[in-house]
Amino acid sequence: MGLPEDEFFACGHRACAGCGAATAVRLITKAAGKNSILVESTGCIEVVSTPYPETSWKIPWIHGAFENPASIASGISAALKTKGLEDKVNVIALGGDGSTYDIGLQFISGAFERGHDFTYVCLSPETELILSDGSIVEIGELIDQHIEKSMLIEVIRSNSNKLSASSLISRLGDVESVSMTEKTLSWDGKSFSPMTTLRAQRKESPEELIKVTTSSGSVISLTPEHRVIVDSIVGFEWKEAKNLNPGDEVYAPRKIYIDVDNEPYIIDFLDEDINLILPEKTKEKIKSRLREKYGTIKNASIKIGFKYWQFKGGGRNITLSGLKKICQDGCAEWIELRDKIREFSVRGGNNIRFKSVRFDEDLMYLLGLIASDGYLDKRGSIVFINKESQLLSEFKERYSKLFCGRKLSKVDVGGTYYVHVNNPALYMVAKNLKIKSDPKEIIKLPEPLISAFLRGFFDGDGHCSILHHKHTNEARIILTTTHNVLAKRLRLMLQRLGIASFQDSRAHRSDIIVLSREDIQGFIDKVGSNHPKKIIEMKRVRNLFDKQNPRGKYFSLAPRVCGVILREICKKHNIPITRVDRKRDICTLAAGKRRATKRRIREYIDKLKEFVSDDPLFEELELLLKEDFYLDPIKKIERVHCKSKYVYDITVPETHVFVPEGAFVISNCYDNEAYMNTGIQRSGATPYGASTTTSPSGKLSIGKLEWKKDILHILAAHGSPYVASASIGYPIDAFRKIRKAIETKGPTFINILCPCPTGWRFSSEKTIEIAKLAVETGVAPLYEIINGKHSINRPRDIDKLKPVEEYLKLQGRYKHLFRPEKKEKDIDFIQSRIKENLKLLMEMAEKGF
Amino acid sequence: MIDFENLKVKVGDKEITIGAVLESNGSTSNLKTGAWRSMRPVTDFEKCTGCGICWSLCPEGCIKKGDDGKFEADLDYCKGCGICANECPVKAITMVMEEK
Amino acid sequence: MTKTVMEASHAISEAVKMIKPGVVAAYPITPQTHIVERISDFVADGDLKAEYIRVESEFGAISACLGASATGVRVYTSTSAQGLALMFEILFIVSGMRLPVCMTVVNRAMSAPISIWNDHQDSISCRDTGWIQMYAETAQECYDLTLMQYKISENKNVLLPSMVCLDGFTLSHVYEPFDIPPQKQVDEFLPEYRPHSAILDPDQPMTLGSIGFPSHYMEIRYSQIEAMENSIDIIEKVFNEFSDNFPVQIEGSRPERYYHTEGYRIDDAETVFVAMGSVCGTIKVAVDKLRGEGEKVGLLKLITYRPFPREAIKNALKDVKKVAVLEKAVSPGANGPVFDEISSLLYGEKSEAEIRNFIIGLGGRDVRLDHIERIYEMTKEGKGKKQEWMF
Repeated sequence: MGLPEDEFFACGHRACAGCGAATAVRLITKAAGKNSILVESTGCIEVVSTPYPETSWKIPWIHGAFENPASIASGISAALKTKGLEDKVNVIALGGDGSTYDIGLQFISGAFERGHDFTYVCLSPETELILSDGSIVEIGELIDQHIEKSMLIEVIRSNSNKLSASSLISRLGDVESVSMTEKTLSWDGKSFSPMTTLRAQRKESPEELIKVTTSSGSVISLTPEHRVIVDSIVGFEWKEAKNLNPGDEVYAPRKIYIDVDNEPYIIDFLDEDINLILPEKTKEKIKSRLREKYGTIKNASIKIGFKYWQFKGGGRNITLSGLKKICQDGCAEWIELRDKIREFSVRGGNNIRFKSVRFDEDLMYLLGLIASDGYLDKRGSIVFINKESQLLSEFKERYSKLFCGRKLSKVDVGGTYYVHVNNPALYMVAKNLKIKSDPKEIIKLPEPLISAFLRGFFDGDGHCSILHHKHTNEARIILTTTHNVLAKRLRLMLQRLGIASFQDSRAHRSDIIVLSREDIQGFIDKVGSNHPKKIIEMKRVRNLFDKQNPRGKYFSLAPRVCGVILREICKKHNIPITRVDRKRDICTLAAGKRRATKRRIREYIDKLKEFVSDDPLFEELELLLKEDFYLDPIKKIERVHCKSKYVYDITVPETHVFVPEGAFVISNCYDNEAYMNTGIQRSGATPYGASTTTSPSGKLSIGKLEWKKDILHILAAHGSPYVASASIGYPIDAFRKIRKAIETKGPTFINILCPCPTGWRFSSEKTIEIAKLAVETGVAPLYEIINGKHSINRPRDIDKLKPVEEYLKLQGRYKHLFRPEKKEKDIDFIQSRIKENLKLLMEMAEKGF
Repeated sequence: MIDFENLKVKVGDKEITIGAVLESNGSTSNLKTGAWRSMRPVTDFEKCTGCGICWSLCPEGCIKKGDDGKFEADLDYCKGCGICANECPVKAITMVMEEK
Repeated sequence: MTKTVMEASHAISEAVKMIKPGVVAAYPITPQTHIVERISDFVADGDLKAEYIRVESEFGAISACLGASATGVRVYTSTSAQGLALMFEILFIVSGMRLPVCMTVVNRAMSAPISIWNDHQDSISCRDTGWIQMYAETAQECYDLTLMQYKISENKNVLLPSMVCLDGFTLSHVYEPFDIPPQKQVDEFLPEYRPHSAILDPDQPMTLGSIGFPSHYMEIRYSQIEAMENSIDIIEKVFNEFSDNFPVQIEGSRPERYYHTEGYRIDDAETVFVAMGSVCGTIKVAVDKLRGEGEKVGLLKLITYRPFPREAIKNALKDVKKVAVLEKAVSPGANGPVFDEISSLLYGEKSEAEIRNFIIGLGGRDVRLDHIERIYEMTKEGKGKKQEWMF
């Protein structure tokens, strides 16, 4: 079910049949893992688990007294710190109702007030983030900048070197944290999208990092505790980097999304000293504004800092840098101007006029050809070399379209054509775009332009071929480069188009290879070619796809859990499996012994839909079969020494996790909501409090006139970074919260509702049912207070609350409300109070408190 | 490392440990609590989908996964509380009275 | 070897600094504050590399020490009167779990009425908790006993917590000369802590604090009490080892050789005072004066109180005719506890000594030479009640 399988609480303990607390303890120990110390208070669990000389525990466990697990835990965590083990061992204090709410509250308060160090999961600084506008930045650089900037602002604000509690930047332990407005690619379990980052963190790096290389060539270095999603038979699970194995399949995005609002202009890639040919009218307008402000052009030039003779006319023109300065000064509008300027000159040479101010397909195609089969020589000209005359005509045709009137020279040396282009502006664009080394700016462009570039590159240095195997033929498309970073960018460009590829890097070559049928089809459709021979090859591949069902499984495998879901649908609706799949492959799929492609699963679904019209499981399957991600097997895991001083991480909003470098999905610092299944041992920090409500002093005992003590808000007021309420009726949610509490640095608290059949007086099989009802009626709403902000998990709709009567009447301890006669008034009071409290919680969450 | 043998002491006829410490080896598994129950779970394996909900909710932790991926309670420990039967999404488990 | 003049509380802080505990958890209470304030200075300056937990109460302090000691590090805490009473529940648990927690008790009277001044009611009332108890007379003894208590508690055949008691204000806040041995010598005497009782370690997981059913409880308690009985020999060994390696530097600051008791001019004494703590200094002066007047009188100072040093006391008092037990504590409805214990001891020996109980100095009431002289008179002449209060 997504929980770790190891048990740390053995059978044979003396708890009552149906004990809710026992289930909770199993969950807690699974969440904490082997490297934990459990501190127990006097109570049911302590008594039933240590019937001397037997014990149920498989982890270190200590019981002190009734009221002091929090204090004992403080002592243990201090001792661990002196031994240097505070990051390796979790300390969890468990208490019941009494020891937490009443007699023990003093000690919890003390422990919380003291607080402790933090644990973070982080990335090495050279990991690249793809921001929502398409730019690619190194996470280290980006966050360092933010931290420096924020510190500066803070110092100016507070006029001191101290950081206030409400800083932009905060320092907790040895982690510096800062808020960011950039957006980066993230995943919410359903789809990828660019999301806003919340905060970024920087911390001193550990000794060792884990370097993960996937089959598609993504290389990411993570701290050993950083968690990654890997595919498994129960869905996807989180695995810590240090526990990853080659062969584990990570979730990689097929397509990268960016916001293409700010498409770059050609002028953005020209050198600052290029001369701009402004239309006469524009020039005059600027001149008049300058004169308005400064009197004469000469004056303006001195004050603003451009060369005044640039405006004098007579062949002399304003440079790009000069114009920018004028715009900064306010005498011209850059946004207006850049739509108008497309004529340039360099050092008194001829004017060069572009067809348009923006990049277009012809220009991109040309750049693609130059990137693959051309080069920029030292004297400032572009050289294109090729044997294929068709390509040559393409080059010439496009060039004349873009720059009508300019000439190129062509030399034929034994069948190979050398084309020289003397076009300093184009040279600058190609150079500044770094098309031969690191064309990461191209990622920002809209898809058709990227396609054009790739088409050019493919025509120059790409191949489309069919390999003949014994029983089948395999198609592949290859782009060849000599440059590792260039290959990486090409892969990213393909990802922008939704084409998955893998990078094969060797000593002097880095190839990008597209293998799966869907991706090749995508390439043919979206990129295509103008090279006659390659067009023929593509046609042949098309024919091949039409004829045979290719066996290739690269990047088209479906997540393992699909088999399980298919089988479940069959069982649910009593459909014999052979009706859907003669060979009963579904069974072997469900058992994890076979894999199937997404296409194959779709075939099964179509068959199933002949028998079943509607089932929510189909929706689940659709999500898993979405083409926007693919499973990328890990090729290599290495332990590397961390060379840099810091490691970095970012947080994206609640339901999302981020995707560095567009490579694969890893965890946030703050984890969240439902879909996420679990991983393996986690190292946390100290101290902690986890509470189970088992004792019959109970939640709502109407014999009492006081309402239940609001322990969560009391402890949140201590400044705990994470407090949450959980219920064993929702074990995965509880598990996630416990995990999160363990991961969160500082004192954290979870209140787990555990119904007690003996104390609450109900039949033992109803424990989980009652735990669920408590939540559904609003008696025990599930919510979290994360750094002081409320987040309600359930129930979400106050109007759809089940009546509290349903919860009360199942329990013997409330029977005095129903017999001898129903006490309507008291039940109504309970109902209204519950609604009130829930409304308040929801309001707080809505308003951001 | 502690030498656990040094912590064992004999008082009269009884062997005890100083400070009443124990090795955390889950030794309560020597106590077969199965004798407590009056009802027993019976699983229909045709219906069982191997979802694991019963395993995760059992207070005893005595439901084990078989080689076929399906789950069955270990009757040495099962106390017959009935949670597994109540929570199974496909109703594959029924509680029957124990004979004798 | 550094001779210095300091408050006795600071002598203890110095000792703790040199012992290098891993965790210190303490809550301030008059008159213990000077000890822990000095220690937190050490920690702040890096002279002592320990985790100092600023707990929210004495209960938290002893619980944190329990947790830390269970995790396998040396710990230290300190308290007085009300604080010790607040720790009461956990004192039993620490001893029952056989954790070598070491504490300093700065003796102060118990409320009500509230008093911050010295008497022994607090630590005496904890005599059943299973902690080893030793009482110091001088600053040098405070320093020395603090060093020794760790060695005693951590001994693998003892594994019992211990408390060193000193009188609040009359000793703790009094400047006395004492000698600090070199760190190297302390390290040799007290090497790095190696836990022998169970510890909390995920590599060797253990369960501590199980329930003890009637079938097992008595045997477990027996083994604990047996350890307390056996500790008397080990305490003696430690005393000897210490006396061998750390010779007296300042005359009169401590016994030549440490032992469970210190006899002062008792060899031919006919009347012996029995007392604990800093009042012995006053008694020694009185003894000298009386001896000067020709009286055959002596003092038996108890250093070890728990375990009760039966043999030492028996041997010291075997030929004595009159015994005056001077105590700063009383058990309401019975007598001074030390008196009752010595009486039962000597009764068992069929001694014919006349034993009397004098309650002195409760709530910080000054004990002066003339008090001691009057006590001597009453004892000599057989006047007054069996339990006499010296107001």
